[in-house]
Amino acid sequence: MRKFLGFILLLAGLNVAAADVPAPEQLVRNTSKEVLEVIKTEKLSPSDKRFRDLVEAKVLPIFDFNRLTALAVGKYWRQASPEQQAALAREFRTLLVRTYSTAVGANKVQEINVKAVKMADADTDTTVRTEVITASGQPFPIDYRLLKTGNGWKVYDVAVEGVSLVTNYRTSFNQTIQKDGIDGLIKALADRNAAQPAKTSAN
Amino acid sequence: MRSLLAPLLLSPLLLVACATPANHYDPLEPMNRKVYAFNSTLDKAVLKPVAEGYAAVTPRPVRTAVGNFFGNLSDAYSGASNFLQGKWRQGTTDVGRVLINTTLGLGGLIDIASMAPSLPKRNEDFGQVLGHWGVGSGPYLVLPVLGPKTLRDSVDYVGVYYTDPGIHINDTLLGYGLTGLRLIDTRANLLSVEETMQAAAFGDEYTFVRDGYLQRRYSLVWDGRPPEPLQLGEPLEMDEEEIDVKDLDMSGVEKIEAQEAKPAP
Repeated sequence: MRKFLGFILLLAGLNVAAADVPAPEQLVRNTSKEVLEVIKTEKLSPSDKRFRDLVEAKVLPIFDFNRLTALAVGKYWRQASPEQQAALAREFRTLLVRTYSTAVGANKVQEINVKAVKMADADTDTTVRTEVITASGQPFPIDYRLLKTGNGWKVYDVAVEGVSLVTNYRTSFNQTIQKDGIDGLIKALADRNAAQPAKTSAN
Repeated sequence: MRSLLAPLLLSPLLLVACATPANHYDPLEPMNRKVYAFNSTLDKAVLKPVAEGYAAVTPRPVRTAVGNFFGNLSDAYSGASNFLQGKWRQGTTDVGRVLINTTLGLGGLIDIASMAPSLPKRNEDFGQVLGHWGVGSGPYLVLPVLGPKTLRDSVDYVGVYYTDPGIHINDTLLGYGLTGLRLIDTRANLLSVEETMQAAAFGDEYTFVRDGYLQRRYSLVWDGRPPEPLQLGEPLEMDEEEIDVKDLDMSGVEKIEAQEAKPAP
């Protein structure tokens, strides 16, 4: 009986340990694993439509592009109408998805190590650190910043080797807005996105 | 090249002295932009084609060996930088890497040490040493040929100079050859990074590269865990507050999205 109790306790302990992995860490872990499996087993290249479908289905849902865009646009976000905000988020999302696909294509990713996250249950904002191991070159860190929203945990910024996307785009976004206004930035982003496919195919 | 270095390093110092004091992080922007344009032209005309040719012509194992050889030298430099920061453990693993790779790895041509998970390659330099002991980055600089730096980080060239195999060899031709090969190797390694950067770039390339460089250096000084994010862009005005991700009003844009997601009636 005692043994049995011990066994039950042990099982309960294991369950607690499994449940102890914080939700944001689990989210990044699962997404990384799924993407990596598909890239490795099917040898998809980022120009494939299937690859883009994979990104749409697996990667995009864990991002909050509205918030990410709002941070990159900075103080002008509040001056933008909801329609403008939606257009900005849409165009910025297209740019980032293309960048992501190019990055995955340029670096042959072999493994993604997700580091354990230490956080309190009440925290609503956290960083999940990962290390990307490629076939050539040194491993490099990618950090995801997540916020607990009404729809669960969502990524609102990504830092590659310590370079935050949100911060890096903010300067050029602000320059464009000061020169051509918010509609000018929407147009510049749309032009940039339209120009990109021609550029990659020429290379 | 080597006799050029000293005046190159000194000239920004003089310019800093006459630059108007500003809390902005790029007081030398007008000069930097000119050098940046010069570097881009030089890169397009010479460095990039040479690096691409090198990558195309040289078999991969040879390129890997060349990269490992220079990597072994930078491990020694990284070790010294770790010790100067009081990071004894990391410094010791750097020394271990150099010892293993120089002997078993045939003079650094094979990176055997990286196969051991306990001996990861580290990336420390004299700029990070100064940063570790509290020296601020100083103004952003774009140096001719050498590219982006900050005033503090240009101390890096002292370390690079002493780990340059070229200066320890009496044969001038071989010396210059090795220095040139290191430059080409470095540039060839950047080809894939460049592809991603081009996909990501938006707007003014100069500011995009600058902000990226400064953020990366800041992160390296803090070993990836800075106490607070680096403030870039325009300085905040008196009545402005730092934007808090939790306080953003998303109701408007989310309503629009919900409408778009619904099929038209």
